[in-house]
Amino acid sequence: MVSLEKSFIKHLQSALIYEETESFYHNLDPRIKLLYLAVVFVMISTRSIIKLLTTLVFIYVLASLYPRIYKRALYILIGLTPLMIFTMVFIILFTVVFGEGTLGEAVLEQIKVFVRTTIVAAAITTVASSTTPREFVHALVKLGFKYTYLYTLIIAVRFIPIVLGELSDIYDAQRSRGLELEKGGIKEKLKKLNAILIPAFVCSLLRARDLVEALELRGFGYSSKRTFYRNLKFKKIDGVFTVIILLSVLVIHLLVP
Amino acid sequence: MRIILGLIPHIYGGELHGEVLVDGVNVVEKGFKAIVNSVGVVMQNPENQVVNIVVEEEIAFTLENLLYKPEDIRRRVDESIKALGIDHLKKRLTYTLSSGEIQKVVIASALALNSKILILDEPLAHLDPLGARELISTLYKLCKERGITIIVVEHRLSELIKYADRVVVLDKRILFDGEPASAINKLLETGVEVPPISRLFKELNKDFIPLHIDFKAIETLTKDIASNNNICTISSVNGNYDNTSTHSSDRVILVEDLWFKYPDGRIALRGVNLEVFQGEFIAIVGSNGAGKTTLIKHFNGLLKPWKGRVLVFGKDTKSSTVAELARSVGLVFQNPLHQFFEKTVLREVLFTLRNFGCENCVERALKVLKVFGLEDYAERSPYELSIGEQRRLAIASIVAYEPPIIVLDEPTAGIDYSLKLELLKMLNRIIEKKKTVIIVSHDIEFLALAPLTRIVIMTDGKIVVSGSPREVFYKVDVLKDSHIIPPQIVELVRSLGLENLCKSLNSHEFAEYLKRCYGVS
Repeated sequence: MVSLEKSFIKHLQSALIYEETESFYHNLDPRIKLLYLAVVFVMISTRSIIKLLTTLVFIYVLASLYPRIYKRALYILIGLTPLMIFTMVFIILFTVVFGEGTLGEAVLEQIKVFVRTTIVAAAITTVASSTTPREFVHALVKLGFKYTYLYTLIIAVRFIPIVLGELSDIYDAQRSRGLELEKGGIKEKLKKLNAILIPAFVCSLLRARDLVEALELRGFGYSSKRTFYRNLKFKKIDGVFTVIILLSVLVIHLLVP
Repeated sequence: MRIILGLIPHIYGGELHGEVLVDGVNVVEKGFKAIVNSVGVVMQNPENQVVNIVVEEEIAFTLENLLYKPEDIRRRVDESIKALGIDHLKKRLTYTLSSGEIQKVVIASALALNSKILILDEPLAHLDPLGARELISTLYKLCKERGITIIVVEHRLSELIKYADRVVVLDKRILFDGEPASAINKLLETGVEVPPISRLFKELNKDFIPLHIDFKAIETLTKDIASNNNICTISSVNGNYDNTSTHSSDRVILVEDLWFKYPDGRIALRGVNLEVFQGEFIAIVGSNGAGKTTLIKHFNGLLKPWKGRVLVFGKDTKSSTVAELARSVGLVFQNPLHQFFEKTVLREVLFTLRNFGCENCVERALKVLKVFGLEDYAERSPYELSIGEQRRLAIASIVAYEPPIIVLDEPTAGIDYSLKLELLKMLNRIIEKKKTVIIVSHDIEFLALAPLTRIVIMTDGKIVVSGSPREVFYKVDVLKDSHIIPPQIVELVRSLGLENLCKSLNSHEFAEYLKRCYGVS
């Protein structure tokens, strides 16, 4: 149980975390990357399976500019597999039993869901692994959002690896004291889980206290505005990329049945 | 410290009388916002104060908050990165840095702001000796070259004190404020860790007390030695301290050609061989990342070998669960907060006892608490205890079920000298009961005080040397290759050219030696 959840989180985490390297996408303006994500979501809202498949091919061709995306997208899909299989089987059974359409339709619907997930997996990894959370904040601030709220997002992302590491330390410490999560009934298991959750909670509180002190001492919230040490500027490649994306959407929308 | 920063009373509340001026600003009245520009802080756990994912962004963060211009920020960031020599970290991800690197990044971000004051809260607690030396010399440079005021809150003074211009001894009120040389007496009284050489001179009743091994100290001792020609040998003095041969020949742990690879592909152990006998007191020493903790996690099966094997009382750890192995090997981790979750101290101990099959063992638990001096706190919450008491409780909850082998990971991190002595007493009591104790530590001066049977030095996932403390601590070349700094008394004995006559490890031993052999007093 624990190891399954752990591997799920680990897979997602290793796929979504920013990667320090150079690639085409790293050089792209974060605003363009947000636009790209928005476009992808518009594209997958179609009900036509052929349009979906064309989009799939298009997105994965674009991903070749940064080949590591393939591996990372695969991680996400592996992480989501148990969940997807469960919902698919459940929904297909549900439609057949309650007679809301034929088996064929239900299966086709689930295939569409799978294709959509695969598309999103690639798009999200492309953006997430080439953009630091701070760049997102910068882009969103330019679009008129307030930075103080956006920073919560950064902090969450920043502390995920630390908290996960801490959880596994706590688990090790309690196992060394003879805790066996595998044994006992559900009620007993839940009680045993306290041995992990309470220390984790306390440690997170202490971290939060430190963090609040640090933020205050570093002038966070000093003004309702803030500057950014790198200016966002549209470059040539940003323009080219935008044109490619928008043209392709148009082509897929108009020409593919 | 929180008052200087204006966090008290502005965040924490409470009642405060008096005035605090920082850079001419009354922080008690105006709060921390008024001094953001002038003070930089490195907290005890600096990883908690890092907000951004990329180092460069982190250093720019404060400047951005304070609305500096982008080109100005870029210039200042580059400059402070250069000043600290951390060019190689600029694009790194903050959560992959070591604690020493994080401290430097935090210092860089204060430097970028041109802070006049830098405050560090126990910065040495999580550094290995070499990291500590590096940090101290960085701070010294910043102070001398840039005229930055540096305030370090610390109780590990051995390395630090010789660089300080001024020492303030605090115990709810200021007990002393002045030059380090004259602070030593006060420090010795308060039970803070001072350089062993200072302790030595105090014990010899000298009228001056050095802060490190300097010319004057060596000259004084050389004169003393030269004035007396009695030649003593090692055995007549150190006999009482050596217990190398007291352990039995029963092997309790066997590690054979152990290799370990983490899921991310990092190889942490590369062919480790180790035998542990009943009744031994072993220290595993090495710099951060040498594989010490990875090794001990194999002893109770938290980690299983990738190649090779580990036998505990003849049982292969691969075919046993952690719960089974934990009966024989009690592992106490570094951070006591990782294990407390019950309402009372007593219940913490009962939890462990119950897990190992001892129901209704209240009396036994109370007895253990008494041994550890915690009986008065039995009904308190573990979170109300001080850090030293929490550490004692963590050890007590393991010792309670009486595992024959007890393993401690960095038991001295973050505790002061008097607590270390107390810990030593407790470990001695455990050893007297014929139990085997293994400690992982890079606190060399602590190890120099402990009656160890063996020291095992690890570097880069391998054991490079294993032997009695006197043997190992005098192998200066091996220590150097493993980035370990020998105990200060060893350095002193060597600079006096006495290493063939006497292999003292701590100030007490050496003082005894000098008194007996040379009549120094």
